[in-house]
Amino acid sequence: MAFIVDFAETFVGFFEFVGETFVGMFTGIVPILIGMLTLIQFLVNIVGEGRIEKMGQFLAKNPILKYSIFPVFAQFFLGSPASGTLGRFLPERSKPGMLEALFRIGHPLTSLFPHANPAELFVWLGVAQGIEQLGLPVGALAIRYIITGIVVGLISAIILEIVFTIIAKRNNYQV
Amino acid sequence: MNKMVKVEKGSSGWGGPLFLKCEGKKNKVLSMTGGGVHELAIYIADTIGAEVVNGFKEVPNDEEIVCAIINCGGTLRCGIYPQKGIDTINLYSIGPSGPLADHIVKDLYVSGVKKENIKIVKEADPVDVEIRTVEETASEIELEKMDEKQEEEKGNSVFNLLSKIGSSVGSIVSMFLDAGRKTVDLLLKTIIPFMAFVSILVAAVQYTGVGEWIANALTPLGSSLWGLLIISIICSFPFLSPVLGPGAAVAQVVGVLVGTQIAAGSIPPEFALPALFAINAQVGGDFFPVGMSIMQAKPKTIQYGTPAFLIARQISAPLAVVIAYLFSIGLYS
Repeated sequence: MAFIVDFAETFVGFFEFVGETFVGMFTGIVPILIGMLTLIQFLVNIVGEGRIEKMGQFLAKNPILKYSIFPVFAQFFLGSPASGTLGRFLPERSKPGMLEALFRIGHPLTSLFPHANPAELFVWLGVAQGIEQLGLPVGALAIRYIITGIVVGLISAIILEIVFTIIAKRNNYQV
Repeated sequence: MNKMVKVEKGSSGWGGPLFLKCEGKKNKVLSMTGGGVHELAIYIADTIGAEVVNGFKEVPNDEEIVCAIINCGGTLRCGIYPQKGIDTINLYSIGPSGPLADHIVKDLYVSGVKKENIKIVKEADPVDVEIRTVEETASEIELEKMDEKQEEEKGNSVFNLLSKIGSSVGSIVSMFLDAGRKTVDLLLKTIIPFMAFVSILVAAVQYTGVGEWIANALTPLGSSLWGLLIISIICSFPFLSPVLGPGAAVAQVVGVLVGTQIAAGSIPPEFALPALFAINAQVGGDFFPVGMSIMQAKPKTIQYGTPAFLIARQISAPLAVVIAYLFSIGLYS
């Protein structure tokens, strides 16, 4: 009998703990998201697709901006994976690099702007919650995460462009 | 001769395209926008040779209606005409929403429409062919009609101004409502379910003995640069990264695990930044070919780009960890 009671208590205790964890996350994250996502969505509605595309065309032309600011811009305004649609303004040679940069900046950007890829928020939130429990500020980490994301994106994209050009050349594909 | 117009969705709109023309008794364009007949309704009606009806003054029979023009922010009105099988043009950029959302389908409904989204098509060739000259005459007629309209509502300038202010406030409010609706939808359908999963995961790690086991396995890897480099190299193996990629599920679970270990003190907090890149070395590995088609890349670019991507990632993933390690100097110390 004591065994059953023990088991029941552990069982219920586990789910109480799950509940506590969930409520903690819910009250900590959801209220911020509600306001922020709504405002950003509104902003995107106001700006409109036409103007976003025009800006995309401009950014795609610049050799430095195309792998650094362009992916950030695309992820911020269109979110993953729709951000890829702006890649059509790039020449074939730069498309793989742009996609790589989009991948690299995607998760870092969710740290401050969760709308960029809300379905994959916990790559960041998982780690950030550990920092929070230690009583350390997460903002500093978020900003560094984004800056690092941009740098890593730029470098990875350039590496990919080089590898891609080599492979394309070997196969007699003109890019 | 009956002309046909093609109505496409606006820049942030939804649905359509609709093809509209008069057929027998079906010859009325219903304007349900309030504040007088909307100019878009007049434009469409004149182009296809239909009669404009102000829905707030008289209500035609359903079978006489070619299309209904509404400015609904996502409540009842935007579903009511599609429910009756009537083509509906919403001036606001609202997708399926409201109590009748199920009836709002692309064949019957188009939203966010502005004048430039309306194109004239030839009867014989109802897809895509536009006649510019006709368009010009149409807008001339429209101007005349507008003048008439204004004469009709003579001396109502105060009322007109008020209704103009009202409709622009209405359009901003409707954009906000739409944004709010999308946000709540996102929270309910993607974020909160993941929170439920993560809560159980965290509880399982902390409440049971699994935590210690993970700590033993993860700590030596997570608390040194070499360990993180090894993780990133493994995660970016060309045969492994596409398997680890989908939905970032692996990265998210490991992210939560790393978080619990940082909280427990077995991984130092200054390793959070390089760890974020190490556990995510496979990001997008599964998605590259799809992403390339979203970018409208040529098939050959995708064919040669995919192996290039996987190989380049093997080089750039450990490099990312090193860069992140350098960028984390001075953090939390």
